[in-house]
Amino acid sequence: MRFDRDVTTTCGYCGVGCRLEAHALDGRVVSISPALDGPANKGHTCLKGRFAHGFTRKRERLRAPLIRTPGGDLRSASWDEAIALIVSELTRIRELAGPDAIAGLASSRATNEDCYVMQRMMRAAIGTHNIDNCSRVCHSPTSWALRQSLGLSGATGSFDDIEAADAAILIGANPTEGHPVAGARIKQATLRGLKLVTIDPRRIELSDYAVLHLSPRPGSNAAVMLGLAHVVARDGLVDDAFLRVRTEGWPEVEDLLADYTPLDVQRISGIAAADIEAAAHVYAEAADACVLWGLGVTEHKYGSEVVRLICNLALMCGKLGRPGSALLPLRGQNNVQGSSDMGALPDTFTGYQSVADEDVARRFEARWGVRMKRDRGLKIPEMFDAAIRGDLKAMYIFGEDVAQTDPNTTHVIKALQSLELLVVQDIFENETTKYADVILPASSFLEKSGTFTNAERRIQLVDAAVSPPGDARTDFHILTTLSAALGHDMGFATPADVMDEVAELTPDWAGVSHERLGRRGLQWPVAADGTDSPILYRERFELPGGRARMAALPYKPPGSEVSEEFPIVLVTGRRLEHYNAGTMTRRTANLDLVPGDWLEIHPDDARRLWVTDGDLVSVRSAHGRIELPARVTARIDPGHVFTAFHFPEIRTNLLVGPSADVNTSCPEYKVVAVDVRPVAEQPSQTPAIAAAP
Amino acid sequence: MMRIDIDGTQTEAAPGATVLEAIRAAGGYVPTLCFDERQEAFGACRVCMVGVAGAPAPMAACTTPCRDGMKIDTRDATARRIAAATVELVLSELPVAPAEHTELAAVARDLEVDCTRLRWPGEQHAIDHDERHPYLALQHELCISCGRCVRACDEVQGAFALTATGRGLHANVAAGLDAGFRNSTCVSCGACADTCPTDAITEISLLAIIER
Amino acid sequence: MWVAATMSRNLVEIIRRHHELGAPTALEVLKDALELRGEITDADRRTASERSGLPEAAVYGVSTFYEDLLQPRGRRHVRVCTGTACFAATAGRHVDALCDALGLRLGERSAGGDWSLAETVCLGFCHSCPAVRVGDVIDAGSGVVERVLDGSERCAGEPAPISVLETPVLLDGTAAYAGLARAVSRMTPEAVLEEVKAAQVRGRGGAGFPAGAKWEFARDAIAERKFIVANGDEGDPGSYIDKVLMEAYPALLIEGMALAGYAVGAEHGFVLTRSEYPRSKPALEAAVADAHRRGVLGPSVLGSDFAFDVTIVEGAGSYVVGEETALLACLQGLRGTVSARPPFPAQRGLHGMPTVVNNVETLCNIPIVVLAGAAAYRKLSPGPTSGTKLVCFNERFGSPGVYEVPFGMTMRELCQDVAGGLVDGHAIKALQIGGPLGGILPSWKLDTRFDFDDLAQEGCMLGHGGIVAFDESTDMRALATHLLHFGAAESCGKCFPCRIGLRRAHEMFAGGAPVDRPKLEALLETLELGSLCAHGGGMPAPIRSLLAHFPQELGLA
Repeated sequence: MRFDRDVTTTCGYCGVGCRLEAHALDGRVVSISPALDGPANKGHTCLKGRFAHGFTRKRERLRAPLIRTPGGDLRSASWDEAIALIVSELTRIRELAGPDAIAGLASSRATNEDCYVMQRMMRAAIGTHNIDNCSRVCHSPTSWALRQSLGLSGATGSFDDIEAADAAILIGANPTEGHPVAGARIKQATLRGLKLVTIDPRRIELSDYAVLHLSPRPGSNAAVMLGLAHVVARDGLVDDAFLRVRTEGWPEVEDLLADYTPLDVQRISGIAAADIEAAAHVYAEAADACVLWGLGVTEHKYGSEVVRLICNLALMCGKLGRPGSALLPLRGQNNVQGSSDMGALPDTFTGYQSVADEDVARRFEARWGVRMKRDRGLKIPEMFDAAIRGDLKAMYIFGEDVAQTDPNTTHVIKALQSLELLVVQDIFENETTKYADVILPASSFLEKSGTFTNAERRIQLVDAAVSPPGDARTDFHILTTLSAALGHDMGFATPADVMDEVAELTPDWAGVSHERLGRRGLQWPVAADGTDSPILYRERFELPGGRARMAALPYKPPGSEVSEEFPIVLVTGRRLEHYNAGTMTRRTANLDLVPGDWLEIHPDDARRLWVTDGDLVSVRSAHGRIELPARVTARIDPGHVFTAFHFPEIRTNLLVGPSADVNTSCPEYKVVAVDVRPVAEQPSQTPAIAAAP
Repeated sequence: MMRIDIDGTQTEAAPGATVLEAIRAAGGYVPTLCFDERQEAFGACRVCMVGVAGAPAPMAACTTPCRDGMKIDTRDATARRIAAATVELVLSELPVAPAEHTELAAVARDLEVDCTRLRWPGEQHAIDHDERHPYLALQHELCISCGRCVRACDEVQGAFALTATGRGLHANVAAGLDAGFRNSTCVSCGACADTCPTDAITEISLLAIIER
Repeated sequence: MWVAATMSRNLVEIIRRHHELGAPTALEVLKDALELRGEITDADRRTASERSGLPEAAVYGVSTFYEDLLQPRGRRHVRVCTGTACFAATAGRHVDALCDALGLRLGERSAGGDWSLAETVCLGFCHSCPAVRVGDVIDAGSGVVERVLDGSERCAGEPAPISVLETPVLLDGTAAYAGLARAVSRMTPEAVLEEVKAAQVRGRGGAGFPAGAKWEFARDAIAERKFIVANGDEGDPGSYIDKVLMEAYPALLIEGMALAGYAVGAEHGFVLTRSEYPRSKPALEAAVADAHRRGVLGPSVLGSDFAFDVTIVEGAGSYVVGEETALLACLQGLRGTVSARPPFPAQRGLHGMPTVVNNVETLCNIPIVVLAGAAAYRKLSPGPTSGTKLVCFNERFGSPGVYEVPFGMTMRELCQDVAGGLVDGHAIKALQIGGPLGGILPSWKLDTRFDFDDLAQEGCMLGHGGIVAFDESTDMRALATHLLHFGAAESCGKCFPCRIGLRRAHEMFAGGAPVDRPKLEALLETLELGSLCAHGGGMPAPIRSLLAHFPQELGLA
């Protein structure tokens, strides 16, 4: 054998949930290969899952607790000292300002067990519902809308539905970069006959394999979905029986659709009316079809409403509840599904059980031996507002670099600076730790055990391949220790014990246990006997009366609109080689593959702005300004520019303002009006002659 | 379902199953080099030969569909002889013996072929290493043209960054226009390294790890 | 679930989509680039990728597969035939003479780019060896080397084919498209298929598979479209029968293809011709244009509801492309490697659609079947095999050329009575029949009958019907080396026994060292039983013959 430890675990990058075999030698992960029986990845994975593990042994990993000195420096401290400091400060603040002066952020990167322990600590040890997680800034609109329309907060099917479908609409997602294994599966399916329609302001790679690509103006998704629905209704492609028996609200939707003829939608979205018609037919005429979407749908002012309109379309066509007919949101982070499932949300306990529900609350109170409020706590943006107001005095941030990734960065930093106590639990120093009073060294996914829940609601085991470096500890260990020190001993010996409590308190997770998850995991809801649910809503929707609720929601313009000063729309997204804030991937040889970011700009705009490939350009919005090199490409439409957000030195999110989803406060990352100009020369001082047209 | 007989044991095979799938489903073993369950059968290596009652010669299990009533002998002497002779030929094109952990070495062990004893002098692959990619090493001299990397890139990832090159004994593999992975449409997924039975494509970081 | 292995399904699908948009194949673009510049650059490969839709890497793979694409071309590109007939004539001396005179090895281009020299197998001028090609001029016969060197090469003549039958059948040429006219006006597609089945037409390309059965598979397959492919890649050294049919009787082939299309429900046919036969494609294209003018091809074949059209595609130098799955790969611009069957082309062929692949001569038999009826067709030969056969003879014979003969004559009758015995009083030492995969028949077995089963009993095969005589001066070890050199060089590289085994077999003979017979025989067995296609499986046959009949000449240990 070449290795001295081989474990099967689940990838800690995106929400596809690849099952991996991690191979360790001398206490280091030296290689990772895909598990052949992984249900989502089927023996495949991407360069992040397979290769980008070198960050785990980087020298700059946090190896000991750090405490900020009065002089502003950080010094190493023992765990006892750090915990004691946190406990004394939190206790002081709680006594002075009440428990709601404290807030916590759980991590969508962490395990279900970590997130559960975190929210229980906030609720039971501290006494506040001020707990949220980073799904707030990505798929909270999806979660909210699916619950409103269909009942449960998760994909209605599985990735296997991609191969079972005859057609699919992919909107606001670029899976070959953001979710590479799902992207590969979609690409393979298109070559085997899947009729794919891509809807994105950029011509993504999968557009080359699609039967149709629609390029809407950013922020006009609602109009596109309404236009598709209009054509379905107009051309008699509605599944009347399904609508009659299984839904409510159709008449109101039908009335609304009259206003969204293909020509109306062409005016709003810029998509040719004929393409709207063709796309509607592709979807509606297929025997089975899926809709897949990503943050290009959710990270808008009306993102949650667009998800409801997607649900409308599926309901109109009766394309739900059977193999090949599913709604599949492509969840961004490995456990963005699970962190919310685990109740790291200000309004719900596990399984989206409302904190305001008396029976539910009593069940949790009885189990935890505490009393809790029935009012919801603060969402992430509200926390920052409260901090600036002075109402929130302490934050405990676990595995999220809010100063790098959240919008309106100056506002976030001001909030962090306003706090009396900021505790950050992470694996590296980052933008947020600059404002921390205590930094606790935590563990990566290769160093801990528990479960992640992927984008198909599949709960899968995570197993430690190596130990955390130095004096770093698992998040489970840190949080249970701190909770006990705060006077609330949870009594868990292992993460498996946590899952047993989740199962006990959560009807949809009743049959879940680490033992039962095995190699292939289980898709919630899981009945007490262990039966899981690859497909939701076969017979009924999980809403009162068992009927889905359609929503008559009109198109409304986005929060950020182009103007004379900011004439170009910036769209942001991911690159294949990097992941979110780049905390992990920038510390691997992936950086060698893609060492920096760039701005994609259409040749027409580039010509107009005197920008050539490689020029440094300035991108300015009403909220900030960044500089980065330009790359001229026809894959983006004129009037739009694109970049990613993986590099702290570029700070793309400085440009994003406070506009957010009306229902969930998810930031409007995807539409930012900007001005682009070259910075290499001062145009007014550099004589030049325009090139011949 | 079809009823078939594998080495004297009655078993069932699903409609459309190949002989190899049926043998594996029944817990049996046949050596393979060009087969990967994630890919379509290829039929190139010819070491999955089995005896089939009534057939004039051994058949490649991976590309032979099961028929009802088929009698399969995985230990058929002629089939094993052909497979072993083929593995001897494969070893003869490599200038170095395959590492112990590779599938090629395992198949050689199963067929009782000594990897270190060369039965066939003659032309071998030239040593040619490409380590320009941060993660992937390409060692052309170890390539046995099984096509698994090319098919992984095609059928699993869909990057189409790899190709078979040349023909005859000079067949090999190349990324893009043979200017390395980085100058190709490679997306660095590593599926090629994962499937390679000889480490002709492997992780650079593993090159330094000595067998225990 | 079993998903069988043709060439990459994804690449085929990508090619199909681009084909529907009118894109050329990558191979076509690369061939054009080669004509233009004399070599292929990475820029050409990128262009080929962009225009064809085939990914860059796959284009690179194609550009390293075909012999034509690998040879750099000088201003005078000399291709010297190293086919078996040329070997029988000179034992390879013409090749050495050219190499020495030009100071080039095979595959080289002179420093200044004036000359380039390459090997080619075979030019189909086996009736007047040796043959050398300069540009598109093929010169052959004595003095050819000198003429090429001083720039006075001229197009060699080709003897007119002769039928030994009282009434020529294939070589009639007077009743063009009469069979097709009869079929589309008076017969249903089913009736045509039944007639072909009843006629028991066996494939003339080597395997002898019944054409009717192939057609029936394709007819029964359910698909949005189907194709007819004529396999014009008659690569057997020593055979030039399909060459004559394509170049002198192209209408007969087009008629046969249209009848096949009518019977199986295909509206389009392709002919794959050899680049070694530069006249085939122009001759066929002229015939296609003529057929369009006469209303034979097009949306309404001879005024009927049946639509049919034919496209001519030229290969780029690969013997194995004559195998039907490799042929389909080549036709789509892919590397011409063999695929395991099933699926058969009749299930999944060109562009993933059901495809009938028939040899040229087989298709040329169809019009007669339809016109004369199955019963009459079966009676054309006295023995068990229906119809007639074209055979051809090499330069060693007194009257070399293409002849139409009935099945069942003895080899002696063919050699003596038809082809006039050997020239200059030479004696037949042995014959190779049906190409390089056919066994070698020694002179003392010339009473063997020319038919599928009779030849098989002697370890020989009918193949395409090329008959190459070796005279008494032939060194049988040199012949074995010659054949194995060809076999190893032409191995497509897919299956392991053939890819490596043929090279090892060649090395056993080429070095001059004594050949270890048991080791050789074990290797031949591995090739015979292990190879994926008939190339590796068939190359041992002539070696087995030589071991059986001329062991003392092989230098065995």
